[in-house]
Amino acid sequence: MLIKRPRGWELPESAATRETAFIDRRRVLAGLGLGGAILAAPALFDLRRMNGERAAQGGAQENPVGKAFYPAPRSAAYQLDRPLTDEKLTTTYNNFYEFGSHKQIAPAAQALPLKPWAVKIDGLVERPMTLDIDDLFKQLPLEERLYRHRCVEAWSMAVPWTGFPMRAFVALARPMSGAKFVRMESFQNPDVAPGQKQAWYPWPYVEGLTIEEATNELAFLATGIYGRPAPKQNGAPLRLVVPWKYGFKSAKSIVRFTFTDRRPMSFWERIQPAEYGFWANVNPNVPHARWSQATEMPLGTQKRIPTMLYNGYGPFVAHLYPESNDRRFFM
Amino acid sequence: MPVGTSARSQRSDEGSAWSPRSLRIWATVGLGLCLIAFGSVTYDLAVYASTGHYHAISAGQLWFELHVASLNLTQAIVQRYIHPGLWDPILVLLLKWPLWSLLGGLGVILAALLPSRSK
Repeated sequence: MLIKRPRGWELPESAATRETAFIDRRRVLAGLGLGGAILAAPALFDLRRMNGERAAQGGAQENPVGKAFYPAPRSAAYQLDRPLTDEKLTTTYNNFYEFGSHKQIAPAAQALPLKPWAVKIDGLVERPMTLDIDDLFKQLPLEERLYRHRCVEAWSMAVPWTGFPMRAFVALARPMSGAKFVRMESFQNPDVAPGQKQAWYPWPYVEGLTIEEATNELAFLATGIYGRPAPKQNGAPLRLVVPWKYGFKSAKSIVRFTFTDRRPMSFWERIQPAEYGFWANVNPNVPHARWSQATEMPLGTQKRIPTMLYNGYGPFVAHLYPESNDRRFFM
Repeated sequence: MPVGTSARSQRSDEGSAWSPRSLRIWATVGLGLCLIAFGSVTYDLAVYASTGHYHAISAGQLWFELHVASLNLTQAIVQRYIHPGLWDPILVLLLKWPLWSLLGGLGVILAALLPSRSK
């Protein structure tokens, strides 16, 4: 008598999946694959084109704006307690949200055209005007200053900026007595700045200072770095430098200054007010919503050092914030 | 091979992504996405009817309105720790699509996985 013992892999015919069912499933999978390919094709093509452009550029383009005015004399009033950050690090590790959320935005930033570059001054001023960036160079003498820079992400650097005191720029703009704040607006050009294609963000990038902050001797409008015109990724041709505040306050590639009696709503404040406030003064005792601000890592080192109140610039700016226990000033 | 092994194998198939039960779950999710897409296109048309201007809300816009912190964080994670190009242009391209087309397309694909009753 034949005894048939079914093996583990043997199934009765009734248990087998119908051919139409698995063919349908293959069709669904094929459809998913095809659909994905169709969806991604333009993007992949764009990515390849972009990478090709970057490769063709072979590095950062030179900023020609005001080249004849460099190098400028160094001010002896601002000394550093640490060595200058290596120029290569300063120019290749950048936050510039218009070009992305990562640090290697330098290649993409080269698409930003710097000439012509008009700077508009309006709002509560005696005479609204639009100046070409070259006119600013002619009217405001350049100087070099060594400043510490503290990013809200808890890294830092020490940089030789070239530019002019914002106080001198405010005097040039001649604000009326009712002006309490300066609103600064960065460029807006989604054709060259891929981040601005995300239209849900409140572009352009906006930052603001009180008049007292803008006319403080530390507030600086930088045009250059390391003794020459600043690369585009560092905010060329004109950027704010306020070293006692977190770096995101220092707006880059500014095209407009508006003097106003109302506190401006800054870009990050509009997006995440609980994490990035208007004042944003450096304070090691007030943590960010997601990390400590007690220490920082200078670029190019692997060690953390204590962060200083107002990034060490308290003697220059502490009087601006008499209510120093108010945490609002440090967010 | 012992019969018990075959039974275990069958049970493990039931829990896989392609088991009828899993397919039903995916299909239900797909139907849900289709409903949201329908709601979205209805909203877009209602706005068009009242303003005369058609502007379809994009997936990115909705994400921004609902939870901007997670949108911002996701971009940072993708661009800093995976690849900048994955976010922009690939994911940005999808996020710029009208919400109804993105969710509707995905919903139809998932709903197609629903096993027929005859099975």
